[in-house]
Amino acid sequence: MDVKNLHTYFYTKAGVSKAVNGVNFSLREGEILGIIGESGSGKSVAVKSILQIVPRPGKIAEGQIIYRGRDLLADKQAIGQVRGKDITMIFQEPMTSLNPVLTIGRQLTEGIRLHLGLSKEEANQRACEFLKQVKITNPEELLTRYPHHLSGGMRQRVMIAMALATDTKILIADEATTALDVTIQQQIIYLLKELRDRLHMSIIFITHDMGVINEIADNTAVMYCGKIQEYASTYEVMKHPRHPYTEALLKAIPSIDAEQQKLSTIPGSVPSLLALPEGCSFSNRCTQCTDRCREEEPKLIRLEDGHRVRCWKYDGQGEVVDS
Amino acid sequence: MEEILRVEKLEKHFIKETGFLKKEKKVFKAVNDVSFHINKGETLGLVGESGCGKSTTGRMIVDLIQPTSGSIFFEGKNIADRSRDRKSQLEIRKNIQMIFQDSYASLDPRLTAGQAVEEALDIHRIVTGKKEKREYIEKIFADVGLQKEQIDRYPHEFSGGQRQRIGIARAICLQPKIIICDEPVSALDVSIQAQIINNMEEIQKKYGISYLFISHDLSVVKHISDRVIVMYLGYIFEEASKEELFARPLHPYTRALVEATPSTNPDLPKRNRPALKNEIDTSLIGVCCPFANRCDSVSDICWKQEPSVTEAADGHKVRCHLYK
Repeated sequence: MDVKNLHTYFYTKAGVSKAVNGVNFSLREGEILGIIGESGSGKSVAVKSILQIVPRPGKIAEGQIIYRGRDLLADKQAIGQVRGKDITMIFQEPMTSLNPVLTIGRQLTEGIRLHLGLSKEEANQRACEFLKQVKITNPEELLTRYPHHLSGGMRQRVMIAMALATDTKILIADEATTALDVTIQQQIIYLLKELRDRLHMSIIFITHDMGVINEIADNTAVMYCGKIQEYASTYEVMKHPRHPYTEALLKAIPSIDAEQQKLSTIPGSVPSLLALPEGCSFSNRCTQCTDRCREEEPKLIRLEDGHRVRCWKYDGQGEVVDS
Repeated sequence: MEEILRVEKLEKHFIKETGFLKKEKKVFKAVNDVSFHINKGETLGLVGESGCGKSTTGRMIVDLIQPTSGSIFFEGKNIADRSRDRKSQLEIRKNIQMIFQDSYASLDPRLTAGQAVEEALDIHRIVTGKKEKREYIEKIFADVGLQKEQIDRYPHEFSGGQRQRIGIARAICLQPKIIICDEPVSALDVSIQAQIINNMEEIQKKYGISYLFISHDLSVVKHISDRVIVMYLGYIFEEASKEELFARPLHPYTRALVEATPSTNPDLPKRNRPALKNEIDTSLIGVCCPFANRCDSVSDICWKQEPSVTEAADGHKVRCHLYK
C-alpha cells in the first residue's frame, strides 16, 4: 500500500485544522510499520483516513491511497470492498467495537457465514480455529460469552480473531495495547508478531509509547503536527535519532534499564493546529532552532543511509523526497 | 531515617450484593495483609497492574475509603479508626494530601485555579488576609511552574499538564508531610510527563515532603522512587530499595514485570516469547498463591498454601514459597 500526499483537514468554526498535512508512506507485505506521536500529532487521523472513517467535521482534502493498484480515495467502490476485509482496524477500547448484547460467537460467525455461506456448526468450528490462533485456550466456551465477561486482553484477542476471519491483509492497530497491563500488552505484541510471521500480513501499529515501538515495529515514522518528521528502520530511529524532536522525546522517557539523574524535558507543549508556528512546526520548542527554522518550512530529506528527516540541520546532505 | 507513616495489616474487603433480591453477598478482597512504612522525605513507589489494590491502598490512607481492618500510624498515632472529631480529621487531612490521575475531574470547573487553592487555604486557615493569600498563592504557583497571570483562569483554559500542576499546587499549599500521588503522570504525553516528574522532585527537595507514588509504569516508578513495593491482587509481593529491587528482583512476578516493560534500547536482544502467560485470576485470592496460575516457578505448595512474607535480605521482603 502506498499513501501519497495525504491531507485531512477538520473544518471547525474556529478555522481549518490541518490534522494530517501531507503524509507519505508505503507499507510492504509482512511489514510492521510503527507510527509514533504525541496526542494531536495526527497519527490516528492519518490511519482513519486510509479507511475513510474520519469523524466529522474532518474531510480528506487531498491525496492518494493506492492499494493493489487501485486508488481507494478516487475509486468509490474500492473502499467498500476492502474496508473490514482486506484492511481492518483494531482500537484502543475493543468494547466500543463489540456489540454488548450479542455473544462473541454470534459476532464472530456473522462475517464468516455471510462471506463463506457456511452452516451454523461449520461457522462455529471456523470461529474456534481463529480463536485458537490468537491463543485462546477454551474457544468453545468463549463463543457463548458476552463481551463484558471478558478482560481487556481477551477482547483485544477477539478483535484480532475477527480480523483473521476475514483473511485480512493489512491490520491497523490504533493504540491497541495502550489500555492493557504491561504483561498483557507484551502477550498481544508477541501474538501480532507471530501472526505476521505466519500469515505475512502487514501491520500499521500506532502508539505514543517509544518502548512499544521498539518491541514491535520494523520501520518507524515519527509524527508531529500532522507531518512525518522522521522515518527509518526502528533500530536507526532508536539508536541514531536525527530529528531534534525524536531525540528530545527519547531523552524524556524514564528508562527501565538506565539510570538518569534528571529527565530532560521538551519545553512548552504541542502547539494548537490552528496556530502553528511559521516555518518548522517544532521550531518553538526546539533547542537547535535557527532563524531559518522560524521562517521556512523544512522538507523531508533522504540521507545517504536511507534515513529520512524533516529538519534544516540536514539541508544539502541528501535528496529532497517531499515538500 | 525517621519514619512518618506506617501501615500494618491493612485489609479492605468490598461486599457486593448479588442474586435474587440481593440476598447473596459476595466478598471481594481488594487489599490483603498490606504492611509498609514511609520515611520522612522519601518516595515510596507502589507499582502493580490494574486490580492489584494500589489505588485502594492510597485511598484508605487519605480516608477516602474506610479500611476493613488494620492500622495506619501517622507520626505514631493510629489514624485508621479516625474518630469523627472534626478537628483531628482536619489536622490529618492537612498533613496527608493527594494528587489524582484525572486532573480535570478533580478540579471544580467553576473555580479559577487561584480559587481552588484558596479554598483549601480557607478551610485549613493556613494564611489569612486577602493580600497575604494572593502573595502565598503566587509563591505556590511559582513552585509548580505556573505563571502569576494564570491564577485567575479556569480549569478548561489549561492543558492537561498545567492542570496537573494546579493539582500539585493544591496539595502543597497546605504544607503537607505526605502526598499520595495516584498515577499523576499516566494521562500525560511523555514530554509533559518529564516536566511534571522533575517538578515533583524539585518540590520534594525544597519542602521535604514524602511521596507515596502509585503507578502502573515501572520505568516511572524506577526513576522517582527511593524504595519500591510491588503489589499483585491485593498482596504486597516484594519490597526493597530501588537499587536492590532492580538489580536483584526476587519474586517471579517482579522479574516478569521488569521483562515485560518495553525498553527503548534497540540493542537489547528481543525475547521470543512473552514473560507471563495467562491473566489475573481473582478466584485464587485467599486460596493459594494468587500468582500460581501465571508463575513459571510454580510448585505443588503454591497451589495449596498462601505464601507468607520472608525477609530475604536487609530491607528486602518477598512473599513467595521459593524463599522459605
